[in-house]
Amino acid sequence: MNSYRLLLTSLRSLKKHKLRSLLTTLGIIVGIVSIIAVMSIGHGAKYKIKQKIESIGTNFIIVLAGTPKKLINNKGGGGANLTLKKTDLQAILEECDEIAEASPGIIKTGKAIYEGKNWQCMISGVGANYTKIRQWDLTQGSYFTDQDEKGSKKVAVIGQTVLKELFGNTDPIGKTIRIKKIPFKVLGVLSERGKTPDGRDEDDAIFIPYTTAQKKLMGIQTGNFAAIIISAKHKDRMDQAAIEIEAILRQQHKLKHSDENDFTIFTQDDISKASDAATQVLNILLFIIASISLIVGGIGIMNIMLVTVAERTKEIGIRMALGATTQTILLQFMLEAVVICLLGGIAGVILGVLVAQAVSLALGWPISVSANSIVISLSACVLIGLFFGFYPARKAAALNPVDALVDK
Amino acid sequence: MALLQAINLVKTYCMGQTKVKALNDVSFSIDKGEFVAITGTSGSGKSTLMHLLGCLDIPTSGQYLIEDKNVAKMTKNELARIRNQKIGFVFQKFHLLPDLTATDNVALPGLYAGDTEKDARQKANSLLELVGLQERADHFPYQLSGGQQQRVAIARSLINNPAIILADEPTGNLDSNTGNTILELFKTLNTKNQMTIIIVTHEHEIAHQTKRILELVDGKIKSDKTI
Repeated sequence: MNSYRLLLTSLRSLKKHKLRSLLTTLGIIVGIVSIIAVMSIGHGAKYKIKQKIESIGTNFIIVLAGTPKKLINNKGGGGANLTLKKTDLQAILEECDEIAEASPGIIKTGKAIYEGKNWQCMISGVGANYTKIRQWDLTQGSYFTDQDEKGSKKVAVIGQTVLKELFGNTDPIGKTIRIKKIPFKVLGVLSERGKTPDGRDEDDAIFIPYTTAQKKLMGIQTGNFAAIIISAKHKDRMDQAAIEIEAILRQQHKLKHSDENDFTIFTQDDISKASDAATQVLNILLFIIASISLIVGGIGIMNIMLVTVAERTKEIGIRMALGATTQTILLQFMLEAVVICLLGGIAGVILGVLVAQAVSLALGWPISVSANSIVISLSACVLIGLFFGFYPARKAAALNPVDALVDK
Repeated sequence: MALLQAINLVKTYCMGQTKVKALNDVSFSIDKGEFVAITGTSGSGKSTLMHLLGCLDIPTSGQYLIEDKNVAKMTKNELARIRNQKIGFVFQKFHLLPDLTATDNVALPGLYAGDTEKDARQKANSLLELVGLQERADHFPYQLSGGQQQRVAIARSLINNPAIILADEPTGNLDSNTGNTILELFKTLNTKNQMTIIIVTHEHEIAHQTKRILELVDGKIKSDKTI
């Protein structure tokens, strides 16, 4: 008896009880739909997050002043921890081969005023190379230069949100805004960046030379700053760069072996890892739900297979009388369970893809159904069929031919 | 050489606390080419004997030899093989599989024997021709009359060229005319093809058309007459 024949036999018996087969597969279908939908939507969400993270800059490292503990207490640590010095920045640029560019950073929230309109936003004092590090283009005007930086010029570049709030439709280039009563000339407007993975609007910021920020705005005389913003040369050697920067800064700050860092290094990797961990939890949760529904579906199949075996006792008896071995009977009923699961699985995959597509349309997420998720789903179906089909099939195969044959 | 040998066959059933001996020390042998009827009233043990002869069940004690091989000691799969290769069953209620065509029903034991699909179907079709049903090859059992169904069943019993045909009340569900044609078919198979045939029946008229009658009473052989 070849397997093709057995397959035909099982298909025929499923066809005979169409409604029953459909109801039986329902549990499996629901389970597979959720697996496919969850995996594709999860994939889409991940892609979306990844895109956001990459928008920060793929080779972006930021060093913040203050220990990680202090940073958490200080919420971003603007003015309180100004432990990073100009010499630190120079040391990093000179000693670390992995670094392409580095800019100081001083971050503070402040109010900007233009013709009676005022807007509270992030005021960032950065270097002239900041847009290069962040790979951030301008939509109009120009960015401030090294000269502006050296001369502590009162110039500013604004983000899209600030543009909208302060200027509306007015052309901002050359206009003067006031921050803490100090006039700044607007040189340019940055392109839209959107929200960071932690929900901060990147476009809601005004960038001025850090020298200006130190002297004019914050009255910092030491020349220290709160952050160093760095671009690494190679995306795949970020970890190496971070390790080197740590060593250089520890040396610069004359930290003893037992001292903890008085600065914190974030790489893009750290940010992606944090968001990965969050999506992972969600995925596991949804996966558990899908698994439960598959197990319930499997139990349903076992149930109906037991009914089928009881109903077809006579057929089993006849087949045994004609020479079917226990293995052949076992295989026949196992195959029937696997086929019913697999058909449910295929229906589930199709429905799951449709659900994913609908979610994609509704949320505007890029959703890709991976070949992986289809393979995993269908393999799960086969396993469920084998697992839950085994007991009923064994029951069929263990029947005594004479008892099966005289069954009423 | 005897084709079948039953030696002191005993089959005991447990009915609650009491044990019932359905067969009590039955011994006989059947040679190749014989045409035998096993008769007896209901409860005489003839169904039990048929099940043992057909390797559908194993005896409580005693020996049963087919071509000198002791079947009583065989495993389930060895028994399945014997049923498939050595025995052709014909049942009172035909026992065709309702979802298969006549050809597929006849071919089924061939497929279990390991024939290819093509070989089994080819053999099945020539056997349907032998029983005069070549035009009904693609019909399903429900599209066939009782007599036609029984002829399909006979064709099926022949596909693996068995040593014996074991027919359990083969005319029991047929009217007497149809029953006679079925009996004629058995006679032809016996005389022309030297097929060994055992018919289990409670009807004397049918038993008397065979060449030897074994009569069972209360689980024992009461008489063994050659006609």
